[in-house]
Amino acid sequence: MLFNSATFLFLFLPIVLAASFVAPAKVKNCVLLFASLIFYAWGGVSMTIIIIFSIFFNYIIGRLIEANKNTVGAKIFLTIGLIINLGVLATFKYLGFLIENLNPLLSAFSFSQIKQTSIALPIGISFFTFHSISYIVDVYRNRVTAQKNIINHSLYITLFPQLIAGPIVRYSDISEQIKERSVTIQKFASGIERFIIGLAKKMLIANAFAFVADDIFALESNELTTYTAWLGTISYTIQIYYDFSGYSDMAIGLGRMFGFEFLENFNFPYIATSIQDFWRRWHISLSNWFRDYLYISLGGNRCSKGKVLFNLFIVFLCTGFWHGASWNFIVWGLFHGFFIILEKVGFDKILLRIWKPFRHIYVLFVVMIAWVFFRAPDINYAFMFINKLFGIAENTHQWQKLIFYLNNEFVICLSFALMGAAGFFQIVYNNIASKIVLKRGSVLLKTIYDVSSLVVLVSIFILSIVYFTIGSYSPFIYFRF
Amino acid sequence: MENKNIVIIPSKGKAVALSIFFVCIILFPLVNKKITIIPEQKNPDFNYTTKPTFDISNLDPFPHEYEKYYNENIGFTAQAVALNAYFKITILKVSPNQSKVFVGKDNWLFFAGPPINDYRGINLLSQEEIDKMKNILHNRALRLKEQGGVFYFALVPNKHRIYSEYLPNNIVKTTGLTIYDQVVDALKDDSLIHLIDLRKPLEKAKAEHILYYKKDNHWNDIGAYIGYRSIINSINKQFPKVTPVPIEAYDLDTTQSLVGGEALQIGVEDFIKENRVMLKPKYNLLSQPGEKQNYPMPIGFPYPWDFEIIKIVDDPSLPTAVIIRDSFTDFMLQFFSENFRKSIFIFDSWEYKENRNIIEKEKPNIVILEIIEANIRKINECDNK
Repeated sequence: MLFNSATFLFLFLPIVLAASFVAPAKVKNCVLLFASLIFYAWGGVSMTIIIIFSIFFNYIIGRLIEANKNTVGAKIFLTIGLIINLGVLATFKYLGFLIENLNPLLSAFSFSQIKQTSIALPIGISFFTFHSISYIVDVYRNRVTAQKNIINHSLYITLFPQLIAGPIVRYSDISEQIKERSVTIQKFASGIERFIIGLAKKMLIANAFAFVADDIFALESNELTTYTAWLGTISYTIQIYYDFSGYSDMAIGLGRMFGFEFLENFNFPYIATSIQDFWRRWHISLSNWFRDYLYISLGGNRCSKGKVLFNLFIVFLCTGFWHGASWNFIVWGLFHGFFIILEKVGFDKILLRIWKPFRHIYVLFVVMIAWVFFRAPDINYAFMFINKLFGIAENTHQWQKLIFYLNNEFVICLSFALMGAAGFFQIVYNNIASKIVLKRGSVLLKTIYDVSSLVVLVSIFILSIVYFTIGSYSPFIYFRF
Repeated sequence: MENKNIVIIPSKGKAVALSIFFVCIILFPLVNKKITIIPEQKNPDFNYTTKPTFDISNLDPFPHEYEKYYNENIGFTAQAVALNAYFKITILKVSPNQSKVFVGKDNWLFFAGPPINDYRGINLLSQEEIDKMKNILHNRALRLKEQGGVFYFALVPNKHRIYSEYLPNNIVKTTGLTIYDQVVDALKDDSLIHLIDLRKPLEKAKAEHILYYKKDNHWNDIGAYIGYRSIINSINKQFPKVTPVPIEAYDLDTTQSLVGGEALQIGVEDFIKENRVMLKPKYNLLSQPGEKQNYPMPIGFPYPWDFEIIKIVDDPSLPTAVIIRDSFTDFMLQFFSENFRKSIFIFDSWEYKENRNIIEKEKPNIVILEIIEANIRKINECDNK
């Protein structure tokens, strides 16, 4: 079920909100669990069996690890847990890719080929697998105690705001909230505000750029010019940020409506001054997960320089592969990894001496080129596209083809998108609304601020609803992963 | 801008008001079903999905089917479409659906797709396509000549070409050559094909009259009259008895309102108003409806009543004509009917075929092929029968 769908907003959400508020405190988690399972089943009823298996399996593994705390048994159960979790993920997500790439090798050595499979990918499998791994590893590391209550454990895995496309919530960050949480009218309203902002980011900004990016990334080589290739790259760069951060905003907002507080998943990544900085700001929950559960497990920084670089290579290889079973994502991950390693071996020192705007340009350049691999339908198309980005003008009508996409809506959305991504609205809020109006302003000024912000929120909410009602919505990009 | 988990706490008044608004909005469709606040407007031509039954033994298709059913029956889609169109056109000055229609200057609407590409010059014909088209039309003209007829080919320019100054700023030509130029260059020297290039007469006339509708793809009666007069002037060279009816023979009437094709596509028919431009004859028409021959029509043609229209004028000195046409001849039909002893108008579902069965039976003196520029490639798609 999509957050930007009529069934979610006008059926699922009112019913679940009502049931959750009416239900006594003791059964609130049961209500949320039942709702979350319905939410998940909506994307594929028969696939629900996989997540139910994952819930029970990890519940048992968690209990077994705790029962064998500080013994070899705990390590054995953790290993079993990791193998099964990653095995399920590999089977559903990577088996086809593996066979596809193995068969040419097998035929080269005259072995018979493996029959290709066509297993459907359960929605959100990468996310709930990482949630589960986070849980059993945290139990193993004694950061949390194993959850005795199967309902509470199930709710951690399935909680619908973050179930399908994150943020990846670490068990240690939310275990207390699952046990006890409160909702005040102000917290509820702040959740609504965040949800509306996320919905608007998706419907009003991301979809406008998706129209351009989809069109340009479907062009054949002979139709694609250098200028249109750059426009497509810029459009996708904006689209993916507003699409994914919009989803995260909605997830955080919905969480608040039900009393949960998730950690932020984005922190203005496009104003980063290095690729390391970018990964501290982009999909923070995934970066944290890989840092906590892979990088540190590999030895982290506490090993030789060469080993650290190798660990980073592995982390970014996995980051790319996590996004999808395709060479595109692997190259995307390794491309980022290359610049991370480059910065680690001394380029970061050079960067610090460079004028700050050039550091931003460097980051945006690397990130945008990487997005081409991420967005292209296949690796060959990606290389063709990049060739076009840097190609000489092979077509005399480049400007005319470019201008086709630059209508008023694009220009207006681009202005808002750039200001938003650069943190302009945040700065305005922090310096004007928060410091001047709300702290030192008169009652009249505060009222004017409240009313005007209310009008803006309700207007963009209605407009977003209008947009998805008429069927112009597109699925969130991160539902694929 | 540190990544702190900042919760912006709204004031209590704002929190209450926002919560009330939010709850009211998400409950609106449920409430609207019970007590109609916004009346549901159903499209009589749309095949609505029926409510799926909940079958516990086959659950997988249920969510998708229910979602489809719910979206189609949400109750305010028509209003949402209108609101979206109003916002996009009046605030953003863009089309609500750019894959279907572009919004130009002064709210002129232009179909997207082939006509836009024709104007931009990005879908030019290959030499192979040009040769094929020449061959098809030449052979038609040759066969007609063998049975004593003369072949006329009238290419109606797209609205985008005649009123390009109203196209949005982002629609610009990418090349000096156009598909219209290509067709004219290919056919102008063929002695069997009497080509009528309508661009110049229309360009000339537009200084005095609006010739195409703002929110429909078609020309109006004045544009159609200019086209008709150009075609008849061309025919007049071979058939001196055939002369255009003077425009003074008609009264201009603009009382009826028009529901334009483009406007319907994007749901703006209610707020971009336009009057229909009609030329009404001041005299008693010479032509009368003729008896239909019930020629077989293309399967699935949505306007079967328009496939075959026959008009008769009781004047043996006039020639007969078969006019293979599209909707642009709708606006010229009343004029043409006055010029031929028998006019057989064939609307063959935009296939623009030779319709040899009709030509061989009717043995017309004249065949006119009228085609809108946007459909020019259809000539090559049809077989040569």
